[in-house]
Amino acid sequence: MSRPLTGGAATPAAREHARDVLAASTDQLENVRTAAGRWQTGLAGLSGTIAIFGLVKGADDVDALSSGWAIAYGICLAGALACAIGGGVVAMRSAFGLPRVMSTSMVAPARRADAEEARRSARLLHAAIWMTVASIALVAATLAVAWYAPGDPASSLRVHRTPGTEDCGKVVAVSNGVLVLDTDTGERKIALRDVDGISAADSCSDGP
Amino acid sequence: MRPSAIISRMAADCQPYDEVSSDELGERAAREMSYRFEPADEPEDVVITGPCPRCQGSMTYTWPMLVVRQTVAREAQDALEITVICRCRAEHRGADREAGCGAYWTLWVPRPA
Repeated sequence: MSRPLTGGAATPAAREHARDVLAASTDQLENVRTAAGRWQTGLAGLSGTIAIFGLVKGADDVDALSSGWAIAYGICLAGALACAIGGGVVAMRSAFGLPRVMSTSMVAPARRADAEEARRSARLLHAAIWMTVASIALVAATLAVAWYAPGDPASSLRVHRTPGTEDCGKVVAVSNGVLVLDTDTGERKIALRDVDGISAADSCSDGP
Repeated sequence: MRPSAIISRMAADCQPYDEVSSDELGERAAREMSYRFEPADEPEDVVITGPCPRCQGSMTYTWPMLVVRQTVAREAQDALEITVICRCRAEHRGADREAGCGAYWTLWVPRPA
């Protein structure tokens, strides 16, 4: 046993703070479990909401988009998901609080703690609302991209002919043993019997 | 009942319940009361024992060093500042279900190493 360093008077506010700390140490297990139960329910609901994002559009449909629009689609969907998760977590933090273990000497007096927590919860509630609105807007943008963005343009073909020459362009038609190719210099008709090989080309401007 | 307990109880009975605090009470408590950390190796509580500086009733006061609260904090101090409220078991007139004589004071104890 040791003697304290010193002693002195205490204020009525300090007395109330001490009573609050002693009460909190008695009730803390029940309080944490109550908060944990609310967080569990909220997180389960949030997980269910996130599953809905999988229904926005399948991966097969995304393949049909041109690369630029596919990137925009991905950014919008990822942003919507992030905003939905962030908004949900922040809303739960605002509603349920977030208990944590702290040194008793760092616990603010109950009245001040309540006031600070109220201000913080109000700020978080506003943030949660805006994040949810942003999430909805991004989901709408994702759907708009998925539904209305132009698809991937038809790929070009590079046609190798038996004399060793080649033509590059988009296929217009194939009929009666003749391949009609739309090239940079105009349509070209190529007899299929002269074709030695065909390969896909992203662009006709580059060499083979 | 042991004589010391009888004396302690008689002393306590002389004091009606009153929520008072003063430097004199705190200084007297610092001279007469003792503290220990429990458990000693990884302290979770400060246990303060000794006579109440007002009513002289013997008391044990357990102050938690850790508590689960919301994320609101204030600056930590170099020494532990503990507000002690009399928790003697003697009955005091006008206590109305409150433990102790109503006196309270502040003790500063060094943080555990």
